[in-house]
Amino acid sequence: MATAQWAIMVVILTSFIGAIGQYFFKKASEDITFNIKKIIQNKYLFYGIGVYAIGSLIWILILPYGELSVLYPFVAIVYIWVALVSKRYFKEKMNMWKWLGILSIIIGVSFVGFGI
Amino acid sequence: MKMQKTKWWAIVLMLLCTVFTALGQLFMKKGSAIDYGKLVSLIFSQNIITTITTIFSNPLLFGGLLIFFGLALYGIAAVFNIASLKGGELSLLFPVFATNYIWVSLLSAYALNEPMNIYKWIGVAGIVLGISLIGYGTEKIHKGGK
Repeated sequence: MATAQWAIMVVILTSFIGAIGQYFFKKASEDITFNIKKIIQNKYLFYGIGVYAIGSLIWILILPYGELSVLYPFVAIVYIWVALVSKRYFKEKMNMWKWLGILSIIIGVSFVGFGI
Repeated sequence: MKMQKTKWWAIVLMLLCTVFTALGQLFMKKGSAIDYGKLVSLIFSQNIITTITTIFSNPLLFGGLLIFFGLALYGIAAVFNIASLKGGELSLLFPVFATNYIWVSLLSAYALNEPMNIYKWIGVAGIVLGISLIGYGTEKIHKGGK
């Protein structure tokens, strides 16, 4: 079965949703304890779960239109967005290794694209 | 967030996480060819016995169950992932986690009969290397290095 190019575009767009989910989970983790009441009141946790649920739904709907061995590697693009979100919103440091990692993922995903 | 030497159980948990992740993907892919219209009309038919027997006798509807199974495996994998990260260094656990891209490719090839080629494998290698480098770089920063 061939992989539709628009399906790959949808996976790339969905990877943004994954990064938004990670943003909310990180926010939620700043205020997480083993206290049921606190967990229930943690709105970021529910935003994260909601965003992830939407992402999973899109993933399941898109899967019939492509090979798993093509679509799944594209999910790794989320590492790029998460690194940028971490730098921008959580003031996390970048270094040469992390930039090299992002470069390697971009090259890797491009190769998978060539392999369609 | 200083971390000591990686615990052996953290590596085992992360390996289990990758296996569950890959199996979850396999089941979701197998189940994704589901006939949604028929499933919805069955559920609204409000006849439990017909619904169950039809679902189990129709591969396209059975797919819906596979998706739930896949999602459940994914949930288990997430718990293993979080637990594992408490027990060790990202420079080791990230590369272990990254192997799930290899497992998914192997399952695609052997369980889904998808054609693999050198481009796909080089791509997977690049992704595994990339995730490993991010883990290594993050660990360096945690330890106060550059």
